[in-house]
Amino acid sequence: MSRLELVKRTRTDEIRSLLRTERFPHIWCPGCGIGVALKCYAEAILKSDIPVEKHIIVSGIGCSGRAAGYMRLDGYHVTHGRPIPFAVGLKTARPDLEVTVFSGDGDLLTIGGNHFIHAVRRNDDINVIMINNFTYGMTGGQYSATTPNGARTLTSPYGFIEGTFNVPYMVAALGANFVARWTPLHDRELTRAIQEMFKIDGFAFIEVVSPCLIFGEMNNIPPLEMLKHFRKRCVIDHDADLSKVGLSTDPDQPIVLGNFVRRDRPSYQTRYRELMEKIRGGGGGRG
Amino acid sequence: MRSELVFMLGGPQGAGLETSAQILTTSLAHLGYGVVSDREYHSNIRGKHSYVHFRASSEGTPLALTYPVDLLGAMDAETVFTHYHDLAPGGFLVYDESQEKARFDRIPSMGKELKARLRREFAELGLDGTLGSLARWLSERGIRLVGISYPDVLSKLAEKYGLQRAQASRYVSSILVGAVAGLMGLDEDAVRAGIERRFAGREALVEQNTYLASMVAETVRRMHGEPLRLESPAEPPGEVMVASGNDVVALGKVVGGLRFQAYYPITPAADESFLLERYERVGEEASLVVLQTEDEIAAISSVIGAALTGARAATATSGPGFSLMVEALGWAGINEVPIVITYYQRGGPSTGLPTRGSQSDLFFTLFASHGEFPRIVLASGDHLEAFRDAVEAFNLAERYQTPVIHLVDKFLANTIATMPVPDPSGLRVDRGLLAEEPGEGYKRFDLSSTLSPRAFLGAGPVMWFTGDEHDEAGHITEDPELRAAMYEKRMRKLELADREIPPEERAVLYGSRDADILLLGWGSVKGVALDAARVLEREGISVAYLHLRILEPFPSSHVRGILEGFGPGRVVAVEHSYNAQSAMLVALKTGFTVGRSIVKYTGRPIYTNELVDAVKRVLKGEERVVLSYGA
Repeated sequence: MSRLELVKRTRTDEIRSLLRTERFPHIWCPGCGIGVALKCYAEAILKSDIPVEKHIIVSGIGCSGRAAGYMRLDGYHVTHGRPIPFAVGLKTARPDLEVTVFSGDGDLLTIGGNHFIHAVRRNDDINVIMINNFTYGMTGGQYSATTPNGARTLTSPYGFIEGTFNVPYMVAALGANFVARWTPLHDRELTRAIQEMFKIDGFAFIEVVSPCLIFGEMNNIPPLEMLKHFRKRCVIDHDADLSKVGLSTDPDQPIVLGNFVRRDRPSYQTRYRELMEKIRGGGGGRG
Repeated sequence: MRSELVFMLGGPQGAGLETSAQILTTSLAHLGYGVVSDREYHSNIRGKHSYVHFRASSEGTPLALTYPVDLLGAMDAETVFTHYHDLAPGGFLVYDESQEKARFDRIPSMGKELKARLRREFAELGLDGTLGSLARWLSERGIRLVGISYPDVLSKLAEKYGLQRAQASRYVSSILVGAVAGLMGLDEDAVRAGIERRFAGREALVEQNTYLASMVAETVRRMHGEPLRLESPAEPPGEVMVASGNDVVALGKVVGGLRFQAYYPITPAADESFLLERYERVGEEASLVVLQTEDEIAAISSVIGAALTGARAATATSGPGFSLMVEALGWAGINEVPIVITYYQRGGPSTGLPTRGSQSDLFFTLFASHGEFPRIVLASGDHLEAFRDAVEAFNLAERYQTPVIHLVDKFLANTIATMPVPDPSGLRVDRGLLAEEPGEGYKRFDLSSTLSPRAFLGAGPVMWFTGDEHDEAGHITEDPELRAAMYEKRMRKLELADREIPPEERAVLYGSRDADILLLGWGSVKGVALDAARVLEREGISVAYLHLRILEPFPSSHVRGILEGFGPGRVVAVEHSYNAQSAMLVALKTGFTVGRSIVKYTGRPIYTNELVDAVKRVLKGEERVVLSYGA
């Protein structure tokens, strides 16, 4: 065994140690991107300076919602759309923990949209990894708030017409401290972005644009074809004009990836701690 | 001299009525009197008619409010038009005599239904619709008029302190304070103490309001004497506090070790969180986080998250907010998370009567969320109970590892009362079964006992939680045998609680098992039931009261035993609802049919006088009496 293979092997074993392989086979379809993103999350944890036992994962409902159950971390599989407020409670009560929300577009931006925008506004010190597969896969492929216009889903058989969130543009406009977009085909970049996220005090967000068999089936894109699509269309541009990075079904339109935003607005939890120190310091200790 | 006084102050919302109420309550408390007051107000920001109904006594804190009133203090003409029925024969009316030409049908803030009623009444009485004609009519019937020209008094104030006229109009609250103080012969220092407390640190306001109140008190005293003077308090005043129901729940939560409260603003619950916000700085090491979330779903979700870290966590809400929390309540149920929901009932359904009271959500709290899981529902009858229950709610939640719903209502929330400072020495903090040094083999949902020891997040072992059915480690399972075992383990916690919590603490009998009649109630019915019992006792009718304090787990055999002693025809359910849900609950849990009911669903509290009359009607054979008194 060569030295390189040995290093690689150790890394794989370590990652496996963070996964609850006894729960396998997992529920995800062959060719789905969620598993790769989860592996990247595990790898980023191992590479982070934060002890494994300080990492917490919170997921909602749906395909991506099952992620928490496959990690050997304190994990929470909560009600549909509510992983963010749940994580906010955890983080506020235990600011020493590194809390990551790992969930999907339907959960986070459709049913849970209100919590999402307010967590960014408050700048809660949590990480959010959002798998965007454009659809509600687990219930058979209904449209979500990130379904591209024109796409066929179970509930838009003649093409989707409602309008679509340009996710990085929206999250950046809301004021998040970190905004990135990657795909499972860019596992090294994604891992590094997650590592970056752990260092951020405040709301950090990564959209993982993911191939989805359910979505592909309804739009006559075979799984392998979908991966080719991703490879062909992806363009890395960290300085992209975010108003132009919305996703569409047009095969000639690029899927723009990158680490788009990095800010250092102090988080709610930091500001809270500072406020308390100030009040206690100057308030004479009476309540 | 009298031992108690019932009075009312009314005026447009936002015009300083609450200021008058606070000053008078504090002053009376300073002098050693017991006071209870209820604020009734519209769901609007300012301008609509609101009033505060008081009862003060030289023999401790009165149990409930009653009609008629001995004194009506009116900021405006609308108050007189709205409440002239409420005055006792020989009572006093304080009003603005410069408003005598004001007509009821020209008052923009007055509702058209009330105008229509007044039009009919005034036509019958031959009155011309002006305040002056109504005042004269009242005077002819023995009501004593205390007419004061508010503009004249205010211009004296304005002259002395160089205030603008518009500024001076904000001091009307102190005219009422002065008039009440004068008629009651209240000590000037006590009134000043009330004013100082209200305007703490704002010397000019203290000075100006004291001047105005003293001037009015002196004038009133000169013209009318001190006809409403109360006897000296029976007992020398010990240490008392003046608090609303919202306040006492907040204090109880702090004493009970609350560390995280998340809420979304809603009437009548939010005042509790506002007070808690001020306690964020309590203590040196631990802090209390109060988080106003984007909605009630976020509130309860973050509370569950915080509770799993080991923090005592709670939320406070009302019906519409609880409706949004229901799904997450089930998540806490299946995951055995100790959370406390303080539920302030108001008039429903939907937005209903946001600022008015109700007891119509008992069944909602008992059955809310899909599926079956244990919950504990407790309801408080008065301020002291609410304080203790706020502490006890955490103990029950952690002992039985399940959500606890603490039911109170708008009546309790907005009732400001004197009360002894609660003695916390008898209270305990029971965190339930905790895992000692949980290691690798730790299983959060260990099936070997009904209560599995809790470990807090970050304590060592890795833990999983899911809203799906789970195995002992918390992993998703659909295995039928495991499902049944886990289901039974959860449900057995309620049976355990039923065995462990003494039934006589869950349903408390006041009075004798041999009484003529038994009133059955819960929550804020307690005060008025006991007060009515006292009045009826004096008339030779003996009344007992069974107070349901913990409604789940329900003390079935204890309650059945008491009720069967009376028999269906002598048990009367009293409730602020249409259905008398407590009677339905008793039937469900005991098989006993409560044959009589006295209900009220106008959104106003049940008053002693109307409950006394209703009990007499029931004794004469009526099965159901619907109450409606109060503007």
